[in-house]
Amino acid sequence: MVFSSFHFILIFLPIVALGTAVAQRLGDLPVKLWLIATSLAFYAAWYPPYLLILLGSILANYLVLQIALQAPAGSQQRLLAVTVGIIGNVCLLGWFKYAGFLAFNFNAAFGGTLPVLQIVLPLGISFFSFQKIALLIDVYRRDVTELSLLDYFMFVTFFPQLIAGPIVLFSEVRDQYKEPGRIRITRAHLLLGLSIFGVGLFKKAAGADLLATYADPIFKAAAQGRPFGTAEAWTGVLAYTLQLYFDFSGYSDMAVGLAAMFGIVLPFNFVRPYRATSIIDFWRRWHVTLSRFLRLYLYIPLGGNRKGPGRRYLNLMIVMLIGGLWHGAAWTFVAWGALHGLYLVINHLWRDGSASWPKPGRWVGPALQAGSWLLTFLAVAIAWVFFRAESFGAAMTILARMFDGAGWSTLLRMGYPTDGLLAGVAYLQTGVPGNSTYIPVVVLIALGAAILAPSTQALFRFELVQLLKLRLDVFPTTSSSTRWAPTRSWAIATGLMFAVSALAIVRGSSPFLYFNF
Amino acid sequence: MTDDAQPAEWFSGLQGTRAVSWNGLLRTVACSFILFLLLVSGINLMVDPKGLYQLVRIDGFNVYKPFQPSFTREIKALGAYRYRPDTLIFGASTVTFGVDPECPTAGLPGVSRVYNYGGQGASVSEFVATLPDLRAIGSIRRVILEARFETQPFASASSVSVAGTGRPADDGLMALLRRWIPASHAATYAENLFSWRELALSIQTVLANRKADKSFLFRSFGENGIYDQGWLRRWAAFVITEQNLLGHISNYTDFLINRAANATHVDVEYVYEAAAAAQGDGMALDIFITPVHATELILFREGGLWPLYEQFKIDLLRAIEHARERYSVNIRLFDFGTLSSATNQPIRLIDNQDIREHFSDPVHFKTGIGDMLLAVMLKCANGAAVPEGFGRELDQTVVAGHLSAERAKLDAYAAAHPELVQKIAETIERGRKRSQ
Repeated sequence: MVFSSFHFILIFLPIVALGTAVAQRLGDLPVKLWLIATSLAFYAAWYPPYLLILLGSILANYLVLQIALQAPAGSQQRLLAVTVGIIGNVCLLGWFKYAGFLAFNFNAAFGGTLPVLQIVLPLGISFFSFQKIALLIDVYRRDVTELSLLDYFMFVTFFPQLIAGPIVLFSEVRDQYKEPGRIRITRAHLLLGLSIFGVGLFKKAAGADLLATYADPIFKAAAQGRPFGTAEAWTGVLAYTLQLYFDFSGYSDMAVGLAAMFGIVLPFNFVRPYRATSIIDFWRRWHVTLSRFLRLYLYIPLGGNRKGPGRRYLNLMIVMLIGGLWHGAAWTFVAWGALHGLYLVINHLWRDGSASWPKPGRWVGPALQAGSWLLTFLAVAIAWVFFRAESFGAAMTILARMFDGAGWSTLLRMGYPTDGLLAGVAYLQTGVPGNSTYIPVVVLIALGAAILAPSTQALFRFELVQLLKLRLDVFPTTSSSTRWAPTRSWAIATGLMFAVSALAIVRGSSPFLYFNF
Repeated sequence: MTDDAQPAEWFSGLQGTRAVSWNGLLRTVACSFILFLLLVSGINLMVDPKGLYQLVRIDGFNVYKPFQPSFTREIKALGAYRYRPDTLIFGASTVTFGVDPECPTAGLPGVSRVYNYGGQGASVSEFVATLPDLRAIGSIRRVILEARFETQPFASASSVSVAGTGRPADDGLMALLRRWIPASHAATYAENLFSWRELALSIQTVLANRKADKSFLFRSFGENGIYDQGWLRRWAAFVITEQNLLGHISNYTDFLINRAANATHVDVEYVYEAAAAAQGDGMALDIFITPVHATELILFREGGLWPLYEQFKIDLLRAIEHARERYSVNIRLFDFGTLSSATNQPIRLIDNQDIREHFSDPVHFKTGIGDMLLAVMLKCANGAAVPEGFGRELDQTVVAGHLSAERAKLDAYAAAHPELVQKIAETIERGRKRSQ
């Protein structure tokens, strides 16, 4: 039951909203119980047996947390409890996600005969494991000093963020869950939440799903050894680069919108990442909650940048390798992480080395900015090839096609091919044979939208603050003159976004890409 | 501030603007959503690019439906429901192009309204998957099912056969709708009304209808499912030339000969499924083996598939007789894969677009042959002159003699056309080497 499906929008969500509206008349406790129950039902809808894993993990973690909280701050007992908790969560994640991968590679490397188990991955395990680990560490650091079972259940299971994040810190929601009368449905919450949800749904249904039709054939052809040209390689890579952004940021927006309907604010995850002019900047904009987790709970404990530049670069590589592996049990993900680690090291070296250089001139500065943007974007797009490709061979095939001199000269001489891999897709979409030249135009328009359109956070930041009474510094600062407001124009825009999305998903919607992680 | 406060009280940027309540804003969201959907669905309904609704028909606007041939399955599912035939002919492109289902006076009782349910690439497995929808029509008493040899599920002794394409599984809400309202095909209507692709087709349909010269546009399927015969005459009134024959042989070496190279038999289990379904609704079932040009039979022979072809007929007949006994269903088998004056038109050097000739390529027959099919199977008095040896109803008493006679006729044809046979054999050999 994905957020963008009719089941969710027309059946599950109205039931949850109506139930909340009834429960909130009875008090905070019924509301929380109702939301927890429906969140568990939402999780069980995917694969009921795994609900037991989720419940077992929550209860075990809660037990460990209580032991840690009871122990004196800074004591060995607290450290031991937290360590056991972290190891337990890592082992659970490791078993379900990496056991088969490790066994396969062990057998390949050492000629072993370990059984390579095909274990079905519990949905969302990567996300809720990290959330629980973060809370364990926060308890150890004394950032969290008390915790009720109910609030812990809400923290882990609240359905908007249960499956694919954002990776929420307990400190972000603690006060919201404790505040009397906070969690409820009101017309204002509903309008604000629907507006944010509508933006996310639009990104997913009208953006990501459409771009997927241009990316999938190219990556599939590369995996199957079928031929394709330079134009198609670039189309596929750019389409996937944008598909991933619209898919994941769309999901994240929908999660924030859903939570806002109930008066809860979750952190946004994307701040126009394809505007980044450096890799450092990119990681402040892309999957913000994951990079925050990696920074706070991995990079800094490893020493961060406090132990000299050499150690800093090593820490960056370790963090990005783990980040890559977190996304999936495959060497292509490790390669993606390694690439980004390398990018970060190079970026830091450049930044440190150029700090003493004179400021660029009036015209040179913008040109350098543009060049930085292009280089960053290309570096990110190239790394995504490994992220998406089914094998190293397929990834290298795509990259080779992208930079094939003969392919470029053909493209320049003959223009975009009207036949080939995407011709069938174009025919399916338009009914007109021999006309696939609109596809790169669509991809470029999507790129323009990703770069130029205001981020959802910028659109709704002030209203979330106003309506849900938060401190303004909860969100990273952005600059945008376009703001959502409760006016008829924006209400019409919201209605249109829902309508456009409905037309796109009437024949079914694909699962979110990050559900695979 | 309480929740009763209006939006303008919350947001300083709204001061001075006309106040709108939260309820008003929520209503605006709902209204704009509904109105936009109504706009798109209204356009799709009026233009009707697939001819599903048939409510509006305006010259220069939507009379021509150039995209219909790409959506045969959807269109015919609803077309059959609207037409409410008593007899339905199911098959692939051969049936789609080649059968005019008009049967003015049928000799068989209960046959008066015949519907052409052919679809490009359709297989018998797809027919079986489509049966629930067909049964929901309620009026069908006889189904004529094409058993085209080239698209049968070939099997070897050690393998499981690969079935033909079935209808893709419905998911979620649409599956639910189809189960509840199968006869009205509500889900198909909904998918076509509220869809970007249909809007794109609608716009292009209108633009096509605005052209001054519409002579090469596809007009529409007939109400009885017949293909636009005017379009066929303009675009596909071909005859078999040596060039297109050898091109076909080359393609079919890949598509058929190499695919069936290791096959020992054809999986005819679908006969039992079709018979079981027919039993439930008291339907009669006629299965016919497709009429093909003599050169296609030569392809089977030179490609080493003739024994498989004969075995296919034998196995099919056996399965039909078992199914007839098991399910008490009236099933007949007709073999039109025979050599006669209707199927041995000469191979031309150039295409003179003679619509009187019966085949446009070795597998696709024209409506002259289609008329003969209906004359033989349904006793339609459609004026078709059925030549000697064109098709035969098979049973166990005649099958051995029939196959022997066909073998002899083919040998005689081959002896009379040695150069043609030689060229076909060479083309097959080149195709085999290419695939190795």
